[in-house]
Amino acid sequence: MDYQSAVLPQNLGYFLLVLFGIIWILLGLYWGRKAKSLDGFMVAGRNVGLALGAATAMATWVTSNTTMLAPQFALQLGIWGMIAYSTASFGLFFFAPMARRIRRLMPSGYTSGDFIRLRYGKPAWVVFLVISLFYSLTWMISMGMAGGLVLLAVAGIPYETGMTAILLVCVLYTLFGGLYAVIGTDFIQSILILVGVVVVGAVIYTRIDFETTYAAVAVDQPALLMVLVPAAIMAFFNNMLFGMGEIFHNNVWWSRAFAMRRNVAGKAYWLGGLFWLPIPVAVGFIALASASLGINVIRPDMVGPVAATQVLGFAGAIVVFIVIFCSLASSIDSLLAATSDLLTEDVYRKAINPGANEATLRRTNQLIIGLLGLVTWLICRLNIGTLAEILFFAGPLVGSTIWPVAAGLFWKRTNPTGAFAAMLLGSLIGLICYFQIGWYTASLVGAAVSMVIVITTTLLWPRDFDWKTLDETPPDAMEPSTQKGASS
Amino acid sequence: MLGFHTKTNSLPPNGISGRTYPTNGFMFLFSNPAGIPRVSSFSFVTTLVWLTTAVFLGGAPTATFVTPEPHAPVASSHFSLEWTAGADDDEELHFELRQSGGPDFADPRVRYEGPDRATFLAGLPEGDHYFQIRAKTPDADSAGPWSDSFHLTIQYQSLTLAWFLFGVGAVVFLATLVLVVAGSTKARREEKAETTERGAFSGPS
Repeated sequence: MDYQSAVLPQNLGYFLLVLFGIIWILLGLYWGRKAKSLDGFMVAGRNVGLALGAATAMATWVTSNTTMLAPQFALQLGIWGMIAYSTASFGLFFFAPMARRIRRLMPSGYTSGDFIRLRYGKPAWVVFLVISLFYSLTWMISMGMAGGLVLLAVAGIPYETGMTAILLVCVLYTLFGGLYAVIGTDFIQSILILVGVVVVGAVIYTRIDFETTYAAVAVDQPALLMVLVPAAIMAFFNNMLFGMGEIFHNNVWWSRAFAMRRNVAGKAYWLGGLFWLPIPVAVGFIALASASLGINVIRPDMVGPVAATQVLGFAGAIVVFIVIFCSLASSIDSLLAATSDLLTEDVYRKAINPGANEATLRRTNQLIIGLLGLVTWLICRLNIGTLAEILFFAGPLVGSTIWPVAAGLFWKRTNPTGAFAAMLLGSLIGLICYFQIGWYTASLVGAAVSMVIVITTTLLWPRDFDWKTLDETPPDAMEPSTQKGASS
Repeated sequence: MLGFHTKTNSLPPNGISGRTYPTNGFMFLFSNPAGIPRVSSFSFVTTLVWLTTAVFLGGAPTATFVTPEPHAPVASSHFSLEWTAGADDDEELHFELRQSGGPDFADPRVRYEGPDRATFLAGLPEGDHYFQIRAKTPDADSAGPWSDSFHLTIQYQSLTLAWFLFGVGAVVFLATLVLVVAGSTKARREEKAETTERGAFSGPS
């Protein structure tokens, strides 16, 4: 029997869920008024300023994994685990100059798929789309399931109800407001998350002293303080490269780069990374302090909520609920918007109906948002326990995209066939290592194999590329930066 | 002293087993000598079974581990343990988990005491670890016998493999860093040169 459940009364859980749901949907309706054009709906008018840009980068990267898996990493891998998890911020740091470059090369771009298709041709594009859609869908499903499971654990709300509510709210405000609503709600969510984590961390810091914590861990959990734990050493770069691959390839991050003003994109991602980096450290510290707080950990992913409630009481439980709701919503809405953009632009417009006008594309985009929500809901209902493990399969797949994307942006002579082979072989060999050696090698091997193939093929068979090919702006189009839209 | 309680009796359980049973037409309680026995309907057979169990158990029920003992060393430093008091389990029972470095439990250390039926053991160093569990009544007046010991061997993965993978990761990380930094620096220089060229061509009117 699990005694670490339902830290909040169910009625209060329902109340908070309904309250936040209504507020977020109303915000979606409000911001939806700004999304008059397709550019407005898909890329928020390409005019997002620094504050909103940084907030959306940080909030989107704070998922339920950050607040629940990071403490688990700390308990499983110790100090190294905490640091290893925070290296996922390097993906944001590295993407900062890339976002600037993307904005420069593709002023009218919509998706990461656009880039791969124009840069490397159709074969690489197909492989890339398969990887991206597989990763996006499994991430979205894992977030939907996490929503249901966490609301059940924190407030005793039945799994199906909690999962349905979270997905429905996110689908509705994304449907109404497009990327405007996504980025706007991200700003609010980022503040709530930061405040929540800081408050809980600060209170716990004042309730314990480091000597007591250290002593408790040194006696009961000595391996958590060890530097030479092999699992932690292996996870360090594997986790970093998984994060890098997720950010480099996924349209969630590319759509934000397209949405931000030209001179803002790089700075926004840097700031987003800086704000994100301390969060896994803070929640990891909470996990390490659990021994000195006298908490019996049953589920390592629940140690954060349990510790917060123990220290802060009822108020802590509410803070936990709000932080988790915000972290889930900020990721699910981004995935809905970005994945529907990818399918609308890359599949519908490019492959099915090239002559579609803006109104048709916008309606298609909205239809796809609804369908994605429905498919996600149907799969989440099955509550497949091993789905989180399926998400780990994406490690070698996304790891294999790091070098094709980065080299494609900065090297004029990257070989397109090499990029195609890098993604394919990096994914396959990474998956083999996943099963033969372990999950802690998969992303690393996928990225390493891909890197070797890209470098080798480019050195042996360089192929010149004209950067102007990436600019698909129609000759008579208005400058994107002069469109009215979201400001900072 | 034996006694009987009505379904609505609220006297705390006490005595040999300290248990009350939910109503199925029967409630049976061992009251203390000062307690006032009350009469209720009962099943003769159930009473007999209870009496026999109470005599032989002589305390809180026996707890056992639910988690199967691993046959091979475990590579990670964490492990989840679950236990139960089996058919005699009661929500009011508490449990005590102890750990030792040897099977004789010469140097036991209490890892947990409370009502939970599981724990996540984190930060276990390499080597052999032995665990035992026992059930206790909530007021710790009586405790059941210690369970059979649970043997866990922790043996980490190869440090050589770990450092090799770390090295591969470091190479990929550094190479990517050089690509991005050098690439963006070069791109900025080219953009600047392009802007300067455009400015030179447009020239004064």
